[in-house]
Amino acid sequence: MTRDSLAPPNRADTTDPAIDDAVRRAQAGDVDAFGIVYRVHAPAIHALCRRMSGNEEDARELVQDVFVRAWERLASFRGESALGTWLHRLGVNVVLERLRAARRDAIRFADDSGDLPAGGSTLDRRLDAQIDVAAALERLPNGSRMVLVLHDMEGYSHEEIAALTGIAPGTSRAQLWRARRQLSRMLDA
Amino acid sequence: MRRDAGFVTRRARRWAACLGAAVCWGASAARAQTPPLLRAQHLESVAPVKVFFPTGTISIAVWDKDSIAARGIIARGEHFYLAGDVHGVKVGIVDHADATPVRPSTLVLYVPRRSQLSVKAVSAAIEARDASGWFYSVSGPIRLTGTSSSIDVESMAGDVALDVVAPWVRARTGGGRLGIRGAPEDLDAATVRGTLDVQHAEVMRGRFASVEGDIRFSGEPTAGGVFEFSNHAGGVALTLPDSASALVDLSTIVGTIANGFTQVRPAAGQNGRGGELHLQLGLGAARVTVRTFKGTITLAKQSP
Amino acid sequence: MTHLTEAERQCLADGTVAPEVAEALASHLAVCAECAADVERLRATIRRMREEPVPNLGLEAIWPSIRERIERGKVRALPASASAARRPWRGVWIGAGTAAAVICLALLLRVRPHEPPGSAPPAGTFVPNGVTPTPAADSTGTSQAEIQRLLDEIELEKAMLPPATAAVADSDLRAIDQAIAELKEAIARDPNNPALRQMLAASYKQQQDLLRRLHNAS
Repeated sequence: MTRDSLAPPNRADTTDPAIDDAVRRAQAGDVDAFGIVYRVHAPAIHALCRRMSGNEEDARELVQDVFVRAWERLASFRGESALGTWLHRLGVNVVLERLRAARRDAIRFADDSGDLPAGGSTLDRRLDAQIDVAAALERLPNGSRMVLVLHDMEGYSHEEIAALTGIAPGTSRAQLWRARRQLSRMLDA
Repeated sequence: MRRDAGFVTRRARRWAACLGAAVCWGASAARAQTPPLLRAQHLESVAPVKVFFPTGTISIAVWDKDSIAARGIIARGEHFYLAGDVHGVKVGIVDHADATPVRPSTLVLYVPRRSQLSVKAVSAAIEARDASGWFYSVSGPIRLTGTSSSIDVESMAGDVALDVVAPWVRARTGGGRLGIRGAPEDLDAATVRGTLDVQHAEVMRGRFASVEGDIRFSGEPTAGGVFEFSNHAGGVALTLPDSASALVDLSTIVGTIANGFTQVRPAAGQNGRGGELHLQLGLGAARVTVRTFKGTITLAKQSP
Repeated sequence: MTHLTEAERQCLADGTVAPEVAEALASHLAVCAECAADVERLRATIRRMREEPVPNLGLEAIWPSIRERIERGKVRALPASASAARRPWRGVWIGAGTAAAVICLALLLRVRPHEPPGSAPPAGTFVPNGVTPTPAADSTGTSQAEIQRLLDEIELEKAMLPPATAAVADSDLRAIDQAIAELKEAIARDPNNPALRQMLAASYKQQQDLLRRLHNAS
């Protein structure tokens, strides 16, 4: 920056990203503008929720929860990170909170023996070979699936996963390895 | 009479003195037009800029540089700050902890064009050109002009004047006047007691509301536009050109409707109180809806 | 031959093996087909997981539910301000008060949000014998309580303002209060008039806007 050129230059045409505008308008209370934000980021959030929850019905409810929470917290978004990153972290928290609230057995990460859920033990191994990733993820215990998705698909470290879930980093590592083995067996064609 | 050499020298000295004084005065005047630089630093193009400026005048201009610069004259005893880093800054005058009045200062702020502005004043006048963001004053006037991406402006008691081109504008005043020109494409404007005056604005979707203040709209409703006016006790006066093309629906619960545009008389409302009037002007390209509780609705033709 | 441990295989598969042992492990893989195949199997699993797309069908259908929840809760994203940062509880009160008022609006009538440019124009013309308004009789008691909470919050905000500013707020509040009183009286006489209910909703929104301005003034 040169201090001898501080006078405003001639105005030039600029094009602001539509999403930046939509975020600002949403922060001012414009729900329609927030709809624009939703349409852009919903696929990524849905993918996150789908992978973490393991089924489509839960995922669609979680997408709602994430975006309602995002609306509530939008004033705190200052643009220090990309909006997608901010939404993603918020989404992870929402999913984990919901799973804790549901108090399903598999939420007890530390107790997760890594075995397939009750239905999984009866799976025909020949059918497993043809299963796709989504279905395979759905068959994992919740705890294993959570760590697998957060680490391998969403890029969280074991330390970050530990902070999010309350399990020890070592447990996270063990869960991850076990989940990979289970998934590998199911996907092995 | 012959002039001696001493006279010539004295005269020359007087001319030199006058010339020198003129040069000094000119330089001083030039400096007064460009306030001194207070602070400047790098700033990301989309960084947030939060401004708190209690009293005086603050002018904001945007530029296509990745930096922020503040020029101005700060009142003696007041503390100016520009804090933060390349990712965001806070600018302004420190408020007094003992609530004593802050002396007026003058500030000119240059910010990146895409800055996320939040500007708050108490009694200070806010002026901004081509700026986008949130502008708020308690009692000071706000004037925004130029081309923006979005504007959210409010004042408790001050007047707000907008002459902007922007896709989205939200404007609110309490008792102050709200004047709108330019081309705010999607406009949401409301006052409580102040006058809402819309003059020749190119609006595509407009919502205009007041509780007691009068609403005045002059100009041609944009083809395809949707205009909603609502007022409780204040009047709504529409002054449209002869060429106006709009479907016009006027209704008032207990007020009156005066149609100076066509010969059609309004029909009485329910229970014989109030009134309704439905008109098609031209091809009906725009939709204009006016509702009041008891305010007078006036439809008039613009003078040629 | 001693095969690689599970930890070593897993770390080789996801590329997190420590640099000081990477060479030794790579040397083992070069001579041990069993370990090499296992590591490759794990790599393939990770790769397939990352590359598998998640079909995003019908996400647009979720938006109306999100919107409804937002409108119902109407926890507005107020502009961030220094005072809000210092007193976060006020944001909670304001959010609650604002949400309460909009719950009232949603219960009393159908409030159509401000639509962005380009969308279909609203069918918002005055229709005296038009849509039957949403019944509010069952929820009147609850709505009144929520509105009172909003008004209490307004009084709290005003109390923190300089007298001149509080006086301005008082004038605005009186104007809105009078409008609300007159509209309620009119609704009592003509309960099936949707225009009156929409005007009442507009007046409550003015109250919310006033609360927002008061909050920003402090």
